[in-house]
Amino acid sequence: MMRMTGVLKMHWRDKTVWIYVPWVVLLFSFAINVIIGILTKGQENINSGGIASIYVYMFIAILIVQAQTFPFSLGMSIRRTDYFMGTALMCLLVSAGSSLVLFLLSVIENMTDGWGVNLHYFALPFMKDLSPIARFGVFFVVMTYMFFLGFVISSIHRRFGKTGLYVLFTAILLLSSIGSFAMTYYERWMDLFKWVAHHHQLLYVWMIPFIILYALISYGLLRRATVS
Amino acid sequence: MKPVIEVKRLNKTYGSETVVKDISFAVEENKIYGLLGRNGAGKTTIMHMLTAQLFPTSGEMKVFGENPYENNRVLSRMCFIKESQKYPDSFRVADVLAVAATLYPDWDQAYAQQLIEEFRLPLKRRMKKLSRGMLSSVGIIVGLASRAPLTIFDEPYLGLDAVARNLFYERLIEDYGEHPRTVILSTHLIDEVSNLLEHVIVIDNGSILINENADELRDKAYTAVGSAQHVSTYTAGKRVIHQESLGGMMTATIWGKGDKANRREAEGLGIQFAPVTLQQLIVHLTSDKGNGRVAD
Repeated sequence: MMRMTGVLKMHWRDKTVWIYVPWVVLLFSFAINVIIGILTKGQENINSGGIASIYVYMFIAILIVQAQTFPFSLGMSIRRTDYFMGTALMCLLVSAGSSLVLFLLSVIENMTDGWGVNLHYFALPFMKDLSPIARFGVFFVVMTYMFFLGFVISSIHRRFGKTGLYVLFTAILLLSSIGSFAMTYYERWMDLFKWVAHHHQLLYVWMIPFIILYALISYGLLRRATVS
Repeated sequence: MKPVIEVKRLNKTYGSETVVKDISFAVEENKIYGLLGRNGAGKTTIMHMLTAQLFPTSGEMKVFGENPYENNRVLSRMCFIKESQKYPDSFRVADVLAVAATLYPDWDQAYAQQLIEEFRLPLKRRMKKLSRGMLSSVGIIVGLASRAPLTIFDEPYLGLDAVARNLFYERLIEDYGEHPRTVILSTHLIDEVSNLLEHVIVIDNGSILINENADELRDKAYTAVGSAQHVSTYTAGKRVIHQESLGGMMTATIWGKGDKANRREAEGLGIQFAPVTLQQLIVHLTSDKGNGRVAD
């Protein structure tokens, strides 16, 4: 327990990577959108996708963080289990904190009619019917998903090296090619689109088992990972 | 005395290549060990396995009586400083020391502070921007200030100047005196550390060549100097691990004790005895010419 919090403290020292940079990136993108809103005098309804920047950032950040902190941690006599737990907890905390801020910004956005310029940056159109908790939940689940997706990819690289990633991506490419061919052959694309259109909010719920799966796989791989 | 490390028939292979062959040894408590050998002999691999960073292919390994893998009781009592240690890019010297302070139970902050001043380390500088020598200093400070019951230094002073190396030896021996612990020192600068070492383990080609008390090891071999003809006569039937001649003179390093009978025989031939330094001994034993001749 003590050593797991040691890992947490280690990550916390790196606030630049976990907190400052993602928010600078996001707020920069937001500022550009506000400027566009001012220039168009709020007459256009702007549905920006800029919020995705923080999600993409978190995905890349965890790839780099794991590549650098795992060898360091083992070198500092930390157990692989403690490294995994501490890092996973850090991801959850950062996700929760970031999502809370995103949520508050979305509340402000709704109260100010899109920052006075009709800009929908934090409160996305599909969120209109969602309860506040669900809105926070979507922010949180998607960010956690990005973290653990990055984490599992990083763990595959740590355990099996470049070869592991080649095999993984070749397999994904193959399966998706076969899948899309099958979908075309059996004329199922429209059904899929219709299902997604009706159930898109369920997609976020579906991310949860995947997060757990990624976490378990990452843990299993890191337990057998080595450092030299 | 209870051994700190017990290794039995340890093997490590990568594909068809065997890096560590059937190694067995024990390390006793509160002694300074030298783990010596040439590049690629397998020293670093052994230390990585002891600290559970690499997995052995086969064999048994106990540190503080337990398997070190994923074992905090063992790992928290162990500090492994290696030349190849990686640090996160954004970390400053102060960050590394702060993390170390939270992880090693016996960490002495005041001592760390003193070492930082003595090694003239810039605390605010990023690890990425440090020179090779400064990077080594960080490792040395972590290794000393952690006061871990088992401290392992693998080539800890790459890029360090002679003054800083000397400072390291002084602090190590001083602090070891005040806070006894088990130290394993792996290095190529054998002459510099030979006075520190109490026990020497020499690894060659993945096997143990020598595992001996340092004082006894120094008595294991001697050099005979004299005219080439006489030395050749003298060395006949003896185990010569090295010999070189210059002009009519010959120097032979002989494996064995230079006892009274030998001495008398040598004196009759006008041959003089000289001690062999640890470094010379190991060079002779592990260079390709002398390789394996004493491995009995």
